[in-house]
Amino acid sequence: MRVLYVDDEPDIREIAELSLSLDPDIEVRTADGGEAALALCKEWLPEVALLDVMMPGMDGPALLARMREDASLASLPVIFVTARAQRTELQNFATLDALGVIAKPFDPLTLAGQVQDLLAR
Amino acid sequence: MLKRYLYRGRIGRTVMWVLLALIPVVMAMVFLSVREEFAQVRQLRATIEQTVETRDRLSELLVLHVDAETGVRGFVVTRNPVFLEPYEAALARRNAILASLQANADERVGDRLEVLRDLSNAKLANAQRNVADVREGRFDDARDRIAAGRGKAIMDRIRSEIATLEQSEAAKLGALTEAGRGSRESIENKVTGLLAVLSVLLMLVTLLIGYSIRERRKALDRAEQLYDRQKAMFDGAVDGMLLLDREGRIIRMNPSISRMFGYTETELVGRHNLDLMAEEYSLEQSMAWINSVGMADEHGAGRRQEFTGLRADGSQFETEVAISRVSGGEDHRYVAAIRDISERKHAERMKTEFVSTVSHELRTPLTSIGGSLGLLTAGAVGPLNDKAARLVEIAHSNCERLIRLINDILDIEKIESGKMDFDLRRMQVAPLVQRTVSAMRGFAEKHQVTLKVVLPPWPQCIKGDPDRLEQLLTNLVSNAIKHSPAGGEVEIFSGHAKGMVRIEVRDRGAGVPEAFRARIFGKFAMADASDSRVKGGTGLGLSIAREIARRHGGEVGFDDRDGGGTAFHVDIPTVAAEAAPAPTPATHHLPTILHIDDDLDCLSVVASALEGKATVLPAQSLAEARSLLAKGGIDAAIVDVGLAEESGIDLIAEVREAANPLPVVLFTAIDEPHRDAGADRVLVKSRASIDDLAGATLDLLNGQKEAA
Repeated sequence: MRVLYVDDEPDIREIAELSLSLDPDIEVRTADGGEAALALCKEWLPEVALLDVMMPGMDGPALLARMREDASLASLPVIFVTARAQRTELQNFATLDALGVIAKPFDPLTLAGQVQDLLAR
Repeated sequence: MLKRYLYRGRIGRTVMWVLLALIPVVMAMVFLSVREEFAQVRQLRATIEQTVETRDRLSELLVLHVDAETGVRGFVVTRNPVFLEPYEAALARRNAILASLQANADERVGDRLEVLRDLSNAKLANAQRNVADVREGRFDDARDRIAAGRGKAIMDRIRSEIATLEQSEAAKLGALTEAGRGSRESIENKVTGLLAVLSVLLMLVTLLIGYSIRERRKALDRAEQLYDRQKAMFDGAVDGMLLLDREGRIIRMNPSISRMFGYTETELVGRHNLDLMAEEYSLEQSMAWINSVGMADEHGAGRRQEFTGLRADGSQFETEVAISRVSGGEDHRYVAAIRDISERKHAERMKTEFVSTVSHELRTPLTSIGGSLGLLTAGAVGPLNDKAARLVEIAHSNCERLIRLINDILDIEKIESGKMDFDLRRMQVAPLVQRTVSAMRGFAEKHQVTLKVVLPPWPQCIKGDPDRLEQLLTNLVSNAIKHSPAGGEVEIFSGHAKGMVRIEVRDRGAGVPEAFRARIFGKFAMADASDSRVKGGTGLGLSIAREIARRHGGEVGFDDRDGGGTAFHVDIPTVAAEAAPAPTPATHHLPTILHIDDDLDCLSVVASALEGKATVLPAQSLAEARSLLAKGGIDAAIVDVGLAEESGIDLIAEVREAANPLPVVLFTAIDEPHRDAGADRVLVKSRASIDDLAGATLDLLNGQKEAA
């Protein structure tokens, strides 16, 4: 399964990549921002995208909006990853047509499982 | 004392009105008495005048007769007719005098007057004969007659009679005068008494009016002082103060309003308070809003609300308005205190922003640290040597503790600022407990502690936020695990206490130290400094637990356990389970079971278990049960032993003694034999399920039917 992880923090990209790779079925690629993510989506066609919420320039919700405007990405499942795990915000994300939200700091050992669970819902 | 009595309320005023009403009554009585006195005096005077006249007439009559006698004698001696003048005058006048006397005479005097008239007639007849004799030349006859003294004898009798009459008149006058004096004295006494009463009344009224005036003056002074104080409070307040009429127009304002809004008093007075608000309300909306404002009471202002203030220069600022109605009947007014809260709002925004930033800025590096350490610990990048593994483990567990600490701080901040959302909904306790316990199993195993769950057989319904309550319960359970000795057991028990659901988490730890009890629910509270290091706590868990419980209308607490250890509990208000459906008319053939229990949950659960099989009449007290029994038609009873301040056993005895004893099932939380109570069946709440109870009750009824 191809998973795209988008985060402006290189350390977190690396950790996420490692964590997700613990699941042998998962193939991970990362992007450091919205534009790179959109480009990678066209080229690589991920099956699910994990978006950081707070990113400089285009943030997670803005990126999601751009994806939904693109016919080829309109149905791409999206999961937000956020350090601002406040409940009201989580509810807002749910209305933004996202599959779900994973709170930071995430558990590296169960991250892949959480993604699988959200996709299975 | 009297003063106080008179001036408390209406009594004083009533007394004064009564006194004032009495004054004209007394004055009327005085007037009537005086008039009576005048009437008597007038009558007395008339009587006196009459008596005097009578006596005058009597004297005149006497003189008339004496003169007539003297004249006749002169005529007899001289034969000169000139001497007859008095006699003729007497003849002419006598009848008029007698008539006049007769007119004034009473009955007694009348008889005497008749005698006098006869004597007068005799006298005048005698004189006439003498005159006739002289005129006809029988001078000797006349002289002899005079010498015989008959005329003198009649005259003496007349004199005597007149004297008697005069005496009688004098006596009558004396008696009248005496009677007049007596009645005058009585009237005088009466008038004096009445005047005394009048004086007393006037004095009392004067006193009362005096007191009243003094009280009024005092009240006026107090009112003036109050006015001065309130004016000082109004004008000196830091908050802007407005006095509004009932339509919301500004009547008065204090200097703070000028400072706050940039208007002078002359510019604002008479304008509508809407002119100070940026919100676009219509006049009707404003009126409706202002009319809903109540008076200030012990809870503070009649109404508080935040508005956006609009200054004279058009700039805006945030305000909090506390407005209260000032009583005053139809023409009531409003006092509004306006506080500039823009700084507070700014600080709140800064805080929220800060919290948001902290959560992001701290969690981001922690994600990297925690992630790296987690992967290392799990051996995801290959095996580590023992020392390195130990060090990485230490770093990892402390990283996790830091994450918990940040989460707890953010939680406390959110709860305290009221920003934590509570999604309250009807929920069951058992799944909550099960969920928490299964999440904590791993943690318990790590501490070599076993978890035991004791739940009642019936559902317990509360209104709560499942996530927050799980957070609360997790805190209590993790504390209990951390404080339990290795190999110990933590018991999670759910029951009822004082109309609430009580979830209790019991451990066999060292207990709460005496010095720590008072501040155990405070922030960063830990029994001793070393404690947090050993147990990995943040010192915020119980503080958060208490806040969550309170936001549910509940409370947390703890008790020492017999045999050591502590039992922490959380009480959450119960809500009624889904209302039991009303019995349908078709249920008349079903047996009717009386169920007595003070626990509403238990009543509703039993009712639903027996639904369709029996009609259940619930009763929460013995009194209620007795009144239902008195109405009759009940086939069996389920009785709880431990009712609030009563015992169901008492009722069983009564039912047993009745002429037609009911089958009784004792359903009790107290796990001890009640065989002597005389119930047909005894079931213990925590051991038998509700279905057991329903089954046992129905069996009992069927058995009875077969026996019959």
